[in-house]
Amino acid sequence: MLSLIRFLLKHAFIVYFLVLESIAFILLFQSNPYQRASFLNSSDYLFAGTYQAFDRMNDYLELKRVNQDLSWENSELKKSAIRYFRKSFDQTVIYRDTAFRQEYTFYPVKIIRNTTHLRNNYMTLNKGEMNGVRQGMGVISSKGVLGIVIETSKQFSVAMSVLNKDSRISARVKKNGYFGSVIWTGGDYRIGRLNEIPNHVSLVEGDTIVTSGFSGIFPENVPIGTVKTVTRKKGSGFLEIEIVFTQDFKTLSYGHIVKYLHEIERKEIESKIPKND
Amino acid sequence: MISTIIKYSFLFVFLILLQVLILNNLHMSVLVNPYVYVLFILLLPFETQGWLVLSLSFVLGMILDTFSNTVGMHTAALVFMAFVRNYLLIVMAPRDGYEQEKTPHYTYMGLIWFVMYAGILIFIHHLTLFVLEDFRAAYFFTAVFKALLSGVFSLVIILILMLFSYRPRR
Repeated sequence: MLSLIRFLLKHAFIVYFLVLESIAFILLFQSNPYQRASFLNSSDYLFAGTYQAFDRMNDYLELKRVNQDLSWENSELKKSAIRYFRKSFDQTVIYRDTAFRQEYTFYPVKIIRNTTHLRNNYMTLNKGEMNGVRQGMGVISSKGVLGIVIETSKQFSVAMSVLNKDSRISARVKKNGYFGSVIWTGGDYRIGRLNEIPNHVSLVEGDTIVTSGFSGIFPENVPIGTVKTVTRKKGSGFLEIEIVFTQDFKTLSYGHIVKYLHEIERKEIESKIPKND
Repeated sequence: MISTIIKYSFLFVFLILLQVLILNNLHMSVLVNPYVYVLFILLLPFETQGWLVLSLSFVLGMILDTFSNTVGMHTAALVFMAFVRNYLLIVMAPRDGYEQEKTPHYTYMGLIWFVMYAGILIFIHHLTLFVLEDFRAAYFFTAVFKALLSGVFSLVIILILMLFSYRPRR
């Protein structure tokens, strides 16, 4: 025992280095992006507050583009609003909607911090638990899918961007319904990849990829991207498809958090599926 | 002693703010991500105890990790760099040792010595960081390339910073 202590004292520097490095590595490899130690996260008030103060200065520079996006989205919404369809009827219409039930609701958020140049990108949002944001909710913008909320604090939340190695978005080819998953392989922030589409499916450049709605995180038919190149690889049953994201991740400033209203009921019924393993 | 501590505390806060608020938002390219906060560890005086250097780099790494949502990544890279620094200083020591109360600043040690010293440590730090960022064999050469490019960039920024911000006593 004594000689062990003597040995440790002699090599105190190396031992201390190994201890600190092990702590770092344990934190690094234990942390699942969906459940990490919450004290080490920029959704904490101090850290997110610093970002928010800095973000306020940038707000003014982006007003013009934000306004353009908003007016575009407004006109899209007006096109689909039910009251604009009913104006053509002359008689009074009693509109009692029992055929449709609301499935999703949306909270507007501001993205106060966002990166695109790292391998694993995250964004910080200005709403948190106080506004009803919970882990696992989707984040979209008027132009496409942005990411999934992984961490929340009282007033802020952090979302894992689509531009992250752990991000997998359940996706569908709009024209024929084949589904796969969209991932990002790093490098160019505009280019993603669509996996798991079988070889016999015919796709051409410009085909639209939308969300499948299977996961209950995003509603159906939210745009993700358009097909850029399709390569057939010998010996593989699947196509290699590169897509261009419809949302330019460098120009993000506002988005919507998606809340799935039937989540509890759905989870309950899905928990009854017999497990294979 | 007290003035040294105050000076280094100021440098500590300044470098964190510079890194987090300005450099992390540059988004220049996927290949160029300068990390200048390592300057704090580079500039610690020669006679700083090994455990203190390691502890400081652990704390600094943790703060950076918290700001950029990368649990443990900056910490692992910076602590490893501090570990190598200890031995690099021994290897690169002049024939009659370091003078008392001196820092590894280029005004004492010469520009060539400093560029070698800082260059090696910055490369080690960046390489560890980029390898940990995406832990796959296929990504390794991209990481080396990234570390070289970003390293050169960090070194240039560090030299510019040292030119007109931090003037030690002669």
